[in-house]
Amino acid sequence: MSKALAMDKTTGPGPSRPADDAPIIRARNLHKTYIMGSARINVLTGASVDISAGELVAIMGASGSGKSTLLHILGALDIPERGEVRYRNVEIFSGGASLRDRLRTETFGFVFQFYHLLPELNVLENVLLPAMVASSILGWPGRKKAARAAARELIDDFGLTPRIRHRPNQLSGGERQRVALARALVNRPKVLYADEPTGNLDARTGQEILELLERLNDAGQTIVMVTHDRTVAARAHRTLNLREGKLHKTAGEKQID
Amino acid sequence: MYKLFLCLRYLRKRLITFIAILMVMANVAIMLIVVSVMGGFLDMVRERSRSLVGDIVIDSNSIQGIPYYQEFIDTLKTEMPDVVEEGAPVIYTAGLLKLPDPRGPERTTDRLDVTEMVRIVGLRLDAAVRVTGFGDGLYYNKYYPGTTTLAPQTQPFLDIDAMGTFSLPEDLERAFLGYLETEANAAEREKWLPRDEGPAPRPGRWDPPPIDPDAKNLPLPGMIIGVDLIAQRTDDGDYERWMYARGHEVWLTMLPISAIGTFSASGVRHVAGRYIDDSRTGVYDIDSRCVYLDFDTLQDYMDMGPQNSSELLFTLPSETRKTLEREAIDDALRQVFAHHDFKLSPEAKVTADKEVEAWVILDGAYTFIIEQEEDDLNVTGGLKLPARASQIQFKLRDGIDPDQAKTRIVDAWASFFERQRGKPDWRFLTYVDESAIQTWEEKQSTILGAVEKEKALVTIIYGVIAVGAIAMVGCILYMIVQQMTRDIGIIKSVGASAWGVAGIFLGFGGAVGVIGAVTGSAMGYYFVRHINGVQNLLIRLNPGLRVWDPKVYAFDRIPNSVRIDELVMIAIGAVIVSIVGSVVAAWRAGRVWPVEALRYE
Repeated sequence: MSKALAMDKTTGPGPSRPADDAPIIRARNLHKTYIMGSARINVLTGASVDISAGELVAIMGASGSGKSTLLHILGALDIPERGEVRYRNVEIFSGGASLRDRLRTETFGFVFQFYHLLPELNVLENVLLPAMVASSILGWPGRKKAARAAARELIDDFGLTPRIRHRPNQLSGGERQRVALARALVNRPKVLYADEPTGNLDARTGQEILELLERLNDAGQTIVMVTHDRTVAARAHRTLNLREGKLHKTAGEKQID
Repeated sequence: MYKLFLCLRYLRKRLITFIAILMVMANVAIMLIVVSVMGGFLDMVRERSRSLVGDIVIDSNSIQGIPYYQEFIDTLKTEMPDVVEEGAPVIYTAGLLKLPDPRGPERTTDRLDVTEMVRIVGLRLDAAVRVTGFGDGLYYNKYYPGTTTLAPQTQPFLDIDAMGTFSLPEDLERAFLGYLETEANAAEREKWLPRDEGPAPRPGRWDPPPIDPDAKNLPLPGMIIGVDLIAQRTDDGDYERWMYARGHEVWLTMLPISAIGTFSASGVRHVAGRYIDDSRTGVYDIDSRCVYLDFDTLQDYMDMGPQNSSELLFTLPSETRKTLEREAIDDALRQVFAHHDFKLSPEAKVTADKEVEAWVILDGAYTFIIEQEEDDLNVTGGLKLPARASQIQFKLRDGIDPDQAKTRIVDAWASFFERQRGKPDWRFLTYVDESAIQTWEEKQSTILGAVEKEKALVTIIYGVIAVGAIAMVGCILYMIVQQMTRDIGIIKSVGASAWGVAGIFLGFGGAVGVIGAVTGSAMGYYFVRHINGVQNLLIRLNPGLRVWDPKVYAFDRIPNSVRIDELVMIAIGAVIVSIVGSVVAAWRAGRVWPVEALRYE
C-alpha cells in the first residue's frame, strides 16, 4: 500500500477491523424540503445516522428519495432546515460558512457520479486543486512540493500517470472517476463521501472503482457511499435505506433514532 | 493560491477572455491617444500663448488706452525690482492692411493688390523681445540676427555683380553667416552652401535691384506682418511665400481715437511702411491678423502721444449751439464728462469769430474750441493729455509666481493712480479705472479655456464610451460566471469559500484590466509616438484622409508626446473599472450554492 492510501490512524481501523464505537459523524433529525413551484417535497423528514471511523457505509433508496441530499448535508455541502450534524462532536452548521468550507477542504472528500472535474485543468491540476484551496498564496510555495508529491502518488496509485497531463475530455469515464477520487483524497480527508460513484460507469469500470474504494477503506478511510445498486451496497459494512425521508437499517428495517 | 491559479488559467483558456482584454486594450489605447493628442495640443497652445504676452498684462478695457504707462513701468521697476524685470507698453488698434501689387504702381491691369482687415500692434521691439517670446517667431531675424528693426528703413535689394550674380547686401550676408556659424545651426550649413550655378540660396525672399532705385528706396517705418497674411500655409505645415519680398512697401489705414473715445480730429490715417519680417507665433488667429509697428510710430499715428493741442470733439445740443450760454455749456460738458463734477471756471471765456464760433478757456489749463459748422456744433477740447498705451506687459523675475505678483501690482496700480489725482488732467482719465490686470494665463484664458473644454469634452465622450466597454467587460464576466456555474460548484465542493470564489472573478477582472491596460498603454503610446507617420501614410494612400490640418489647428504636427502621469492614470483607471465591472459577476459567483451548481448542466 502506498503512503497516499495509508490513512491517518485517527480515522480508525479499516473494515476488516471493527469500527470505533464512538461515531465521528452523528446526524440527528435532519429535515429538508424542496419547493418546486407550488409543490413542497419533503425529502428528509427526520433522518438520523451515525458513522464510525473506518466504516464503509452505503445509503440506498429509490430515485428521488433524498440520498444525495443527505450525503450533501452530511458533507457540509448543503444545509438542512432542521436537525444537526456533528463531526467529532462539533456541530458543523453552527460555525457558519467558514467552518463548513474548512471541513470540505480538510476533513471531507467528495466523489460525484458525474466526476465534476474542471475541464480547463489537467489531471494533476485537478487533483491538486483541494490542496491549493487549503493553502494560502503565501503558504503555497512551502507546501507545493509535498502537495504535488501526494498528488502524483495518488495518480500513480490509481494508474493515471500516463494521463497526468491530459484534460478530462481526453479521459475515459473510469479514468475521470479515478481522477475525482484522487482529488477527493489529496488532502487526506477523514470522511470520503461518494455519490453514486459507479452510477455513470460500465460494470467493469464500476467494479474497478469499487475495488479502489475497498482498498481505501481497508487502509482506514471512512467512506459513506450513496448508491441505488444493491450489488454495490452489498460490499459495504453497513447499508442504510432512505425511505420517506428517514433512514432504516436493512437488517430488521428498524429506524435509527 | 487557487484563486490566482484559476484566475490565470481562465485567462489563458477562454476565448471570451481575449475579447474582454481586447476591449479594455482598445479603450485604454483610444483614451491615451485622445488624452495625449488633446493634452499635447493644449500644452502647445499654452506654450504659444505663454510666449505671446508678458507674465502680467494690464489692459485698457476702453478704446482710449492707459495713460502714464511709462511712469507706471518705471515705478514698478523701481519699487518692485525683485518682482518686475521689464515692462513694455503696447498699442492695439484695428485697421486695414494693403499689400500693393509688387509689380509696381505702373501696372494698371490685372493688379494683385490685397487688402485685409488687421489688428495693428504697436510695440517696442527690444522690450517686446525681452518681455515676451515675440522675437522667437521672427523669420528673417532668425536667419539674419539683429537685422529686424521697426525703425524707418529702405528696402534691402539684392546686389548684382558684374557677372550678373545676385547677392545679399553685405550686412545681411554677414548676419546670415553669423547664424550659420553657431553650433546649433551647423546642420543647416550644407543647405545654404554656394552652388556651382546661380547664387547661393538664402532664406526668405529678396527683390532684385529696382530699375529706378530712388523711387523705391524711401525710408519707411518697418512693419512685421503675421505670416499668414503674406504666405500660404502648405499641407505639410511649411509656408509658401507670396511675391512680397523683404522691404516691400505696404500700407496701413487706421482711425485714431481720442482720449475720450471719439474719433480723433485728425481723421483717418493712411500710412506706408516696409514689410521687414514675418511673425510666426504658430497661432493662426494671430498670424493671420496682426501687423506690428514701432510703438512710438503707431502712437503718433493714433494721436495717442502727449498732446498739447486740441484734438477732442464734443457735440453740443442744438439749443446750446444757438445760445452759447455759460450754464448751457456747463451742462453740456458735464454730460460729456459724465463722471466728473465739471464746471466752467469764472475765468473761462467764450468767444467767437468767423470760423470758430466760441472759445472756452478753463483756468488757463484747458482749451475747448466750439466749432460752428453747417449742421453740427462741436466742442473740441485742447489740453495737455498724457501719452497712452493700450496695454502694459510685464516680465517677472524668474521664480516669481504670477498670481502673487498680480496682487502686488494691483495694489501698486491703485496707489499709483491715486498719485495721479494731483495732476490737472486726471479728471479726464476715467478709463484707467477700467483697466484690467491679469496674469498671462488669465489673459489667454479664452483660447486656453476653449482648448481645455475641448479636451474635457472629448475625454468625457471617450470616457462614456469606455464605461460602455467596461459594462461589456462586466457582461462578459457575467457570461463566464453563467458558463462556469458548475465549475464554481466544484470549486466550492472542495472547500473554496464564497469570498474565495468571488476573489477569482475579481482577480479575473483585475487581470483583464491589467493586461488590457498594459497592452493598451503600449499600443496607445506607440501609436501616439508615430501618429504623424500614420497620418502621412494615410495621406499617401488618399489625401482626403488627412485628419490634422495645419491650417485649422495652427500647428503643423499632431502633438505626439505622452505624459507618463496620464498614461499611469488611464492604466490604473482601466484596472479599477475592470475590477468594478467584475464585481457583479464576482458577487453572483460567490453566491452560487454548490449543490445547485453541481446539479447545473
